Amino acid sequence: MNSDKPIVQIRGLCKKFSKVIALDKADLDIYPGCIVGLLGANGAGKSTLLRHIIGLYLPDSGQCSTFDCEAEKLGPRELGRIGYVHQEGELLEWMKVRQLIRYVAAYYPNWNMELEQRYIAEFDISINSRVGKLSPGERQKLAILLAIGFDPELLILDEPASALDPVARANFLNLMLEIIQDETRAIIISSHILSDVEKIMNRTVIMKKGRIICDSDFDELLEKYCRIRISIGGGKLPENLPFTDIINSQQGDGQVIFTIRNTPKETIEQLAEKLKCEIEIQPLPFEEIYRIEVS
Amino acid sequence: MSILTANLKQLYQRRGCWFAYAFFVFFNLPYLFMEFEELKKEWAFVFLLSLMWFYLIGILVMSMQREILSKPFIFCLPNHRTVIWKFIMIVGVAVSLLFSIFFINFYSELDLWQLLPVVFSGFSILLTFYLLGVCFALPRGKCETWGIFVPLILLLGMFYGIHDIFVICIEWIPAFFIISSILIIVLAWRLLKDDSIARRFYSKTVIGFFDACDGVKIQRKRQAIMAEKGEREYETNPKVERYFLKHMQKCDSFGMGRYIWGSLYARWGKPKNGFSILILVFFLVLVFLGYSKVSFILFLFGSTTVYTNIPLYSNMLIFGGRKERFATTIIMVITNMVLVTAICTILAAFSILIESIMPDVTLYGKIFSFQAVDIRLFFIPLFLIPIASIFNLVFYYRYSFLVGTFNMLLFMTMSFIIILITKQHIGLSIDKMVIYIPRPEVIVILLFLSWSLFLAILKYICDRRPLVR
Repeated sequence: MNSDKPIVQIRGLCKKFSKVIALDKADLDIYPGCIVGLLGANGAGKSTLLRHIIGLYLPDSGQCSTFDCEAEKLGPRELGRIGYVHQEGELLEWMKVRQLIRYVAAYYPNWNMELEQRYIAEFDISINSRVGKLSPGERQKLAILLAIGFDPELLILDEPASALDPVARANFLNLMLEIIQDETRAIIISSHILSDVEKIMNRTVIMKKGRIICDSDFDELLEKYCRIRISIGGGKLPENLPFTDIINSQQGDGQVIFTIRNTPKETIEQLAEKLKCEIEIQPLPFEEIYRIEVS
Repeated sequence: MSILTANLKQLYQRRGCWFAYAFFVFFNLPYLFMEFEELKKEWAFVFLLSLMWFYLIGILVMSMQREILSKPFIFCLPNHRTVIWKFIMIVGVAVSLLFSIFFINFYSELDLWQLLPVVFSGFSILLTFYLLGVCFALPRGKCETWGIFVPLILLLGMFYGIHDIFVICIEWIPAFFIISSILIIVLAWRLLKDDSIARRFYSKTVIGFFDACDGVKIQRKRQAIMAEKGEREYETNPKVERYFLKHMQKCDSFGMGRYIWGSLYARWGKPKNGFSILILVFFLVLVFLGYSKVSFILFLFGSTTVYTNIPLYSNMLIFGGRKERFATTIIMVITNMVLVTAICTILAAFSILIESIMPDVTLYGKIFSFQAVDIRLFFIPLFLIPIASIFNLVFYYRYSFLVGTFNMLLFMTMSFIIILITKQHIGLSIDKMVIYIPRPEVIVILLFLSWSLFLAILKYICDRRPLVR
C-alpha cells in the first residue's frame, strides 16, 4: 500500500435514514495510486459512502475527510479535484452535448481539450444531440467525459459502466488504467459487474448492510482463497482431513473438493504429503470469493 | 384478481386520487353547506359547474389509463386492452348516476313518468361531458390542446345564459341529450377500441395528472415534445451561451462568481418557449381579477408561479460546495423575484391604461366594471417569493407542478382568510386594506420577516441536511 497521505480518510462513519442504518462505523483510507472496487449488494451503502466523500451527505457520527477537509467544509478547491459519475445520471437535459461539455469545461481552468477530443472520437459521442434524448449508454459516456475532462485527482464512479455496451466497457476500462498511470490519482468504482471491476482494481472494499466487511488488497484477497482437490489412487480418504478454515466441501468417487481460506499453498502441500495423496490447488474465481465474503 | 379489479383499486389506493378528491371537495364546500332552497335558485349555474367537473373527471380518468398504457409490461398483458373501455365506462356511469340522484330532488314536483326522462337526460349530458374529457385526454393530433377550450366555452357561455339553455333542454327536449350521449359513446368507443392505442402509448413518457409532481418525468416529456416539434425551435441562442460562458471565465478559477454565473446559465440559458403563453395566462388572470375587484391578487398569483429547480440540490458535481450552493440559491431567488415583480408591475401599469376602455359586464343582473391593479402593491412579490421558495427548499423532490399548485392554493386560501377575518373582526374592507398595506414601515417589516425566515431555513439546509435530490 502507498505510504502517501490518504486522499480520503473515513473513521467510524455512521449514517441513518429514519430507521434504516445506511452506514455503520465505516473505516476506510484511500491512497493515491489506488483503484478501489467498492462492491456490495443493492442497499449495502455504497452510494451513501461515496456521497459522504463529496459532502452531499453529512455524517451522523464519525468523520469523513477528503483532501484533508471535512465533508461539510468541502469547497471549490477540494471539489475541483474530484470527478464524480453518479448512478442517477443527472445532467442538464435541455442542453446539447457540445453545449454541456463547454458549460462544464468553463468551470475548470485545467480542462483537458486533447483528452476531450480523443474521448469523443473513441466513444463515438454525438455532440449535436440533445442531452435529454441520449440513450442511457450515451448519457453514461457523456457523464464519464465530464468527470474525467479536468484530470481529477480523485475519480468517483458510481455504477459507471452498467449501461455501456461491451466495446464501450472495454474502452472505459482501458481509459481507467491509463488514468491511474499517474500515481497521484485515485479511482473508486462502485459496481455490480464484478468481471469488469476485477480487471482493473487493485483494492477491494466489500460492503454489507452499511458495514465494510472486507477491505483488502485485491491480490491478497485472491490468494486468501483456493479450491483443493485431494484424491488417493484406489484408496480411501481419511475421515477427518487436517485442514482448518474449510468453507465448503464435496466428497465422492475417491476424491474430495473443498474451498479453503487463510492457508498458504506450502502448508497445503505439506499436509497433502503427510496424507500421501494427490493434490490439485486452484485459485478461486473472484465471483465466488465475493459470494463467500458477503454470505 | 381480475385486471379490471386491479384498475378499479387505483381509485382508492393512489394517493394522487385522494388529492383529487380533496381538491373536488374543497372547491364544492360552499354548495355542500348551502340551503336546498338557495341551491335550487342557483340550479342552472350549479349544473353548468358540474358539467365542467365531469369534463375534468373524464380527463383525469383517461390520464390514469394513459399512464398505465405507457408501461411496457402492459403491452403484453392479456386482455388489458379491453379493460380500458370497461374501466372508463364503469367510472363514468357510476359518477353520472350518483349525480343524477340530485335531479330527483330538484325536480321533485314532477310525477314519475315526467321525472324519468329528465333524470335520464341529465345522466346523458353528464356522461357526454365526461366522455368528452376522456376523448380530449386521449391525444390525437392537436385534440389534446384544443380540449382546454371546452371549459372556456362553457365559462363564456355563462355570460349568454348557456346554463339556462341546458336546463331548458333537460326539461323539455330530453331526447337531445340522450342522442348526444349515444353519439359521444360511439365516438369514445371507436377511439378506445382502436387497435393501435396500446402501440401508440407503449413506453411513451406520459404525464398523467398524478405525475405532475414528478420533475424528472416532466423533463423527459419536454424532451419528447422537442423531438416531435423539431430541434430548431428549442435552440439556445448562441449569443446567450457566449454571454454566460464569457462571464464565467472572467471570474476567478474555483471562485464563487464563476459558480454563480454557471448556475444562472443553467437556469436562464434555456430556450424560453412558452413565455408568450405565460404572459397570456397572466393577462387572462388580470382581466378576471379586474372584474372581481380583487385585482391586487395578481401580485399574489405572480408570486406563486415561481417553482423552479433551485440549484441547491444537485447530484451533478460541479465544484460548488455548500457555501456556493447557499449563495447561488439566494441569487436565484432574487432573479426570480425581480422577474415576477417586473412582469406584475408592467401588467398593473397596463391595467391602468386599459381601465377606461374595458366594458362593463352584466351577470345575474349585476354590473361588473373593470378595476385597475393598484401599482403601489408592486412590493408583494418581494416578500412572498422568499416564502414561496421555502416550499421549493423543503419539498425539493416535488419541485414542479404540484408545489406550484400547492403554493398557489395556499396563498389564495390564506389571502381570502385574511380578508374575511379583517373584514369581520376589524371591519377593514379590501379597499381600505390595500391603502393601509403599502405604508413603508409595513413593507420593511414584511420584507424583513419573510427574508429572515427564508435565509434561516436555507442556512439550516446548507449546514445540516443532505443535498442529494
